[in-house]
Amino acid sequence: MKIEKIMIVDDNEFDCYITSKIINNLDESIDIMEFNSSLTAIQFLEEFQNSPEKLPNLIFLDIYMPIIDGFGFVEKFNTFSDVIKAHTKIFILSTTVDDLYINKAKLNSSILYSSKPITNEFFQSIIN
Amino acid sequence: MKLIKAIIIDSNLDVINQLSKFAEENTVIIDICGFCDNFIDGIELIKTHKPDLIFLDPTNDNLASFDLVKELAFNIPKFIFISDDKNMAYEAFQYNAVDFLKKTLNFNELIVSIYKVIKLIEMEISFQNQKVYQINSFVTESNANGFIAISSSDKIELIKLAEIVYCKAEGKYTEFVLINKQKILSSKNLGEYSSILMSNQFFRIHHSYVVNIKQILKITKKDGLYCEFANGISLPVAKRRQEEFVKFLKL
Repeated sequence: MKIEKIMIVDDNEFDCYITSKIINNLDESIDIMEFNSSLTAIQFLEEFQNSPEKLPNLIFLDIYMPIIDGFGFVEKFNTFSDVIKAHTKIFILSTTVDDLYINKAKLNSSILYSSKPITNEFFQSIIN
Repeated sequence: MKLIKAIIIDSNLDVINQLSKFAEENTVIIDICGFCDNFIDGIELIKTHKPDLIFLDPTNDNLASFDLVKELAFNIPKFIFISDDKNMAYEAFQYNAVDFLKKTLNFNELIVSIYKVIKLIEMEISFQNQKVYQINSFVTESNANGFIAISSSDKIELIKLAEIVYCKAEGKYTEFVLINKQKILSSKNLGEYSSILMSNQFFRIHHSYVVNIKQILKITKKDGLYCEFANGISLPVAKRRQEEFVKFLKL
């Protein structure tokens, strides 16, 4: 999978920064879009859902966020166009080890899950 | 975002250069405020800068002096051990280091180590806040003669408000000076204590000082107002606070 753009949605600025740095240390050609607000991120995706050139290939999504949490985000995303669903894949990133949340994330088979901070191995496995 | 203040104790120039380069690329999360090649000098740097994190080469000499950190009057910094000897990872566990990195440094491993440090500090702060909140709400409920809970990372001290002479802002720390001349350093800034102090006969006479009105022996006027206290201490009242101060004391 050729990855050009990655969107990071995390209300914790520090976590957002770390994820972004780790990705760029592994591949500096990747364009990273950082969103500290899930609401702004979802608005962006809604606006450009039919313009693949503007869309990220991957979204790294935090779970615990104010206003719209990670699951709310996924629900909203699922109402978007087939264009964006074919182009963009969501990964849920969380520090939580709460089984309930892991299961909830796994319920939807198109959503993948990893713990924070992301590792080289995790990133390599996505690319391959 | 929290900025981590760090010190390097390592005689290896490559390590110092790599860490400095890393800090330059990540100025929003880390600031290296000093380095030296041995633990004894390191302790002096630690006292001066009160860092959050030490990158330490765990040589036998350095580890022999390690216990000096226990005598620090403020939060003991977190440690990341850096060595080319894998066996030193065992020492890292023994000394409760947050992480162990093997030379040569890899920036992604380094950033993950710093992530661990920041998460640990955040957890400690939130735990302390919770405890202090519990204690202070208990104190308010029972109205127990005005105590205040002062926290540093490894302990919480309960002191009587009446025994405080004044509090001094020391950057992100606050120093409490008591009647018996004892000084207690808290890991919170002065602002965090203002609400509990201000409702209890304390007044902020200066950007850096909140004083206990009941401890003032006399107020002198020489190029502005000064508060004098029992143990010969004299503190200035800031010009723009003088009027409010006089009103507060109903002079």
